[in-house]
Amino acid sequence: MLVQAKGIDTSVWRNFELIATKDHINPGSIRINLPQQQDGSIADVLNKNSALYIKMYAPGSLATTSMRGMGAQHTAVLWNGINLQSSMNGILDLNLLPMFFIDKAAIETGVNASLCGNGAIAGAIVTQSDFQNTKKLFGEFGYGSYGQKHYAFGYGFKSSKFMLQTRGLYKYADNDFEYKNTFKIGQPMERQQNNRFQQAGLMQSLRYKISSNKKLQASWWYLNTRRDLPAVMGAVDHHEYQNDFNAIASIQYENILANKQTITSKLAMTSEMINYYNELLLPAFNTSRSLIAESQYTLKCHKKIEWFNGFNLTYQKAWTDGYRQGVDRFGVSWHSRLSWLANKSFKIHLGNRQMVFDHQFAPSTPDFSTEWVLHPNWKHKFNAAYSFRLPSFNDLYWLGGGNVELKSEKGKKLESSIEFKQNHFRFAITGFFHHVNDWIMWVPAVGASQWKAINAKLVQSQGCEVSSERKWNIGANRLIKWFGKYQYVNCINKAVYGPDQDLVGKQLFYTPKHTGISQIQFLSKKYRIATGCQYVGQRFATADNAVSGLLPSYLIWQLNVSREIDYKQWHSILELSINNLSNQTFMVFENRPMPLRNFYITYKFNINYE
Amino acid sequence: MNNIKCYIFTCLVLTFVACKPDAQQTIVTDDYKGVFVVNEGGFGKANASIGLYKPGSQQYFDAYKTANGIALGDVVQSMSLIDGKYYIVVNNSNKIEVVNQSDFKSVASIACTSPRFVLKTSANKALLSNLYSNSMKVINTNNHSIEASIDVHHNTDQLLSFNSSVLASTFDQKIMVLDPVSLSLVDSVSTASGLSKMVSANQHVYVLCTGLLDWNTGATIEKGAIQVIDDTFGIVNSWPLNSGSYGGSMVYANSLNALLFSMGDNKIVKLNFDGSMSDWLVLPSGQAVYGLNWDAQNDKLYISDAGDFNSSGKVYVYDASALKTKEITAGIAPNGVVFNP
Repeated sequence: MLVQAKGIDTSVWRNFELIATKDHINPGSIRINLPQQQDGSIADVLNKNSALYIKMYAPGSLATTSMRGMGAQHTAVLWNGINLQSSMNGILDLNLLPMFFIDKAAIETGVNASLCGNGAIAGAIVTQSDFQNTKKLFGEFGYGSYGQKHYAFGYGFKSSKFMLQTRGLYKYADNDFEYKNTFKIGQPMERQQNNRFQQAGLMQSLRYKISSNKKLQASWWYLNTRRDLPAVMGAVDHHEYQNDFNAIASIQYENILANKQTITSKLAMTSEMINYYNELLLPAFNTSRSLIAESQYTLKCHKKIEWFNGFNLTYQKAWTDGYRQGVDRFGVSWHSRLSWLANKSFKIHLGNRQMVFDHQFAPSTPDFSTEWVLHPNWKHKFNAAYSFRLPSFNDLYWLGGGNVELKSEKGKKLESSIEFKQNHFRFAITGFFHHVNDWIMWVPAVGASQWKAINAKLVQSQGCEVSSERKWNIGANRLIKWFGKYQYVNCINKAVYGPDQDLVGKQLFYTPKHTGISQIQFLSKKYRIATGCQYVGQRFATADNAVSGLLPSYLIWQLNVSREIDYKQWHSILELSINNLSNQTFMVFENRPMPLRNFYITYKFNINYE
Repeated sequence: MNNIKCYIFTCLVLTFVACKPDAQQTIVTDDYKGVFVVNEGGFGKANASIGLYKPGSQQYFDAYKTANGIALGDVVQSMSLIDGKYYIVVNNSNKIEVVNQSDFKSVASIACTSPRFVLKTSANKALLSNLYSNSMKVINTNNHSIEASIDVHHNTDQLLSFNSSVLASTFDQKIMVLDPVSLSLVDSVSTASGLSKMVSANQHVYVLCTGLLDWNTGATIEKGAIQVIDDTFGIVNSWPLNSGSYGGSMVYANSLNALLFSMGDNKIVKLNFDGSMSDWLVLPSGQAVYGLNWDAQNDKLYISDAGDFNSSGKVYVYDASALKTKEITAGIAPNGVVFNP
């Protein structure tokens, strides 16, 4: 069986359960597991394995997601339960988070804000770094087109009381791919300039088993990323680049008491520094830090009733060129959840989170969800919830446009899912309805030299998500797997609180109505061949849905061939990936070219020395 | 196995049927006469364009793309007609696209750093102002090359011909005066804060200064003024305004025998040559003036409204009695129009 590069031997070959049946952080929503054993960043993995629309200017550049048509700020990104969204701008750049640091990743569309707190209006991307259960050395090397390369190593140690894991990585890419310049007569092929990507990182995790029911765990990671920022096609290059420094440290204590009571306490600190350089401007230095203390208590009150309570204290501070003196805020929240297992086939969950930030009550976020096993093959889920997003520090305090009068964005949603499972076939369909009021936007003020953050509009999003997977065994050692995902999103401005009434009824820009992905894999004892495609439908580049700003749809194919190589305790995989197989010219953003056909070769290994 | 094949086939077919060809818009035009709209586009988005509005057919289309089959670039600042050719200044593409007046076909592309405005100074010569350089460039309009540089000690913006001189506004409350023949700096004029627009009328130059605002709070630090410069380059009048703003626009309306100006809000003020002012037009709430142009042939005022800089802007057309006659949906962030009757 193929090994997982970081030493987990639950390979994606065996575990094809993409539509997960457990580990939800939100019981009423659909969880889509992302395959492990992937290279690149979390943005790359989402791009290749989900129907989410990942917005990125170029490979390695700022990447965000549009889940159910919502904005980048509306998807919480959690790592080991810690929300990584920046307090400065409310987003996390998904290209900064390398998959080598991640052991499990999943998308939970429609996850409830009561569970994730601020920002989870559309859903959440849930990531987790785990411990290996054996002593292992593991690593990977990669080389590909446009000067792409990466080296990554890890080490895992385990004793009866103590577990340790260390990981380090280095990634580099020139990203000087060729593209068709549509701003020059004859549309010549040119090479992308000023698009280099460089990242180095280190991660350390420790776990100490105090007793059979108590454990202490500490983790930290540090990433330094330097990225050149290429000019838009047709514009002059001002040699822009950005240095990102991201660090997280957390310590967690878990105690399982008698009567199935569990207490988990966590202390975490996140630090983010973004330094921006442009030859025409003075450098811009932006720093934010968060300190999070959280304690959770789960009580099994009755054999059918579970009561969960969580308390969270969060302190955020940031210093940027827009508020050099620094701004901060302190929040307290209480999260309570009651789960009732009525019988083997019916569960009801009631939850709420109440947050108080700087002595002001944030909107309450009650939710109600049910899970009903209608039949051994059929399950129905229902979820209704309120959510909110606090304005970011930039929205509130940026000099010359920040607005301290801003209200929190308020969301409410309904979703209903049907899941079908039979033998090696799974199918899930979810219908959703989101309603977000007081959506925060930056709009030009009078004279157009200054922009201002305002609660600009009411947005309504409705649509459906479909996921399916199927496996066929062919003899003892061969199988074929297929999975497909599709998303339909109709996300419109329902009301606009200002002069731009023309925007009412218009689809949000850069929000395709149709996205989908399909992949088929053939697996034998030592080989894996997979081919798949990603479809992104037409989308508007302008808020008024002008036809001149309609960007064409694209269908991008990829091919992946892997060979497993084992020698004694040395397990390894050699893998070739060809991206954009059909050599299609496409753009995610207007006038931002993406690479044509390109390849990447990876060698991954782990050595079990136990 | 047949079931497997059938299933895989169905999955792949479903993948493909989701795709459909993208709609294309075809515009056919026999000439390039009408009103050109200079659409700046969003900075860093390269969606600038030159639109052409044909009053007869009321058709509007992207003239440069239609004529040349390619996009124009990032942030079009201005367009000037010189010897039968338009010089389209594409600021953040560091270039000037030169196109024929007759068919709008590109004939040359002049590479230059942060260009703003081009003005013909003499036969085969034009001056180019520069946002990020203390020098102005001399363009040879015969071979479309930059052949000289003039040090003017300031970053320059708008250019104006006045009494055998060229005036170049700067971002430092100064107007530089150049000799168009010797192409040398001969004088300078200090103005009030917020030097925004120069207009030649009534044997004088009228300068709209929009004052000084606190960039962080938007509060007015210094109110604006309209200053009058005579042919000796002295300020002969300075009429204070009762507000300040980040920028504004001004035009000479010949049939009104007055100037019309805006401070970038929704108000257009009529300024008589004796300094008296009155509100000439107040646009509906939500509309704002980003550029003003007067069609002297038809006595019409063209008001460019950039909107939210992320949607199609508008151009409103008003007659000399301040009645709206037309509204044109333009490209992204229109900043003015150029008439090609």
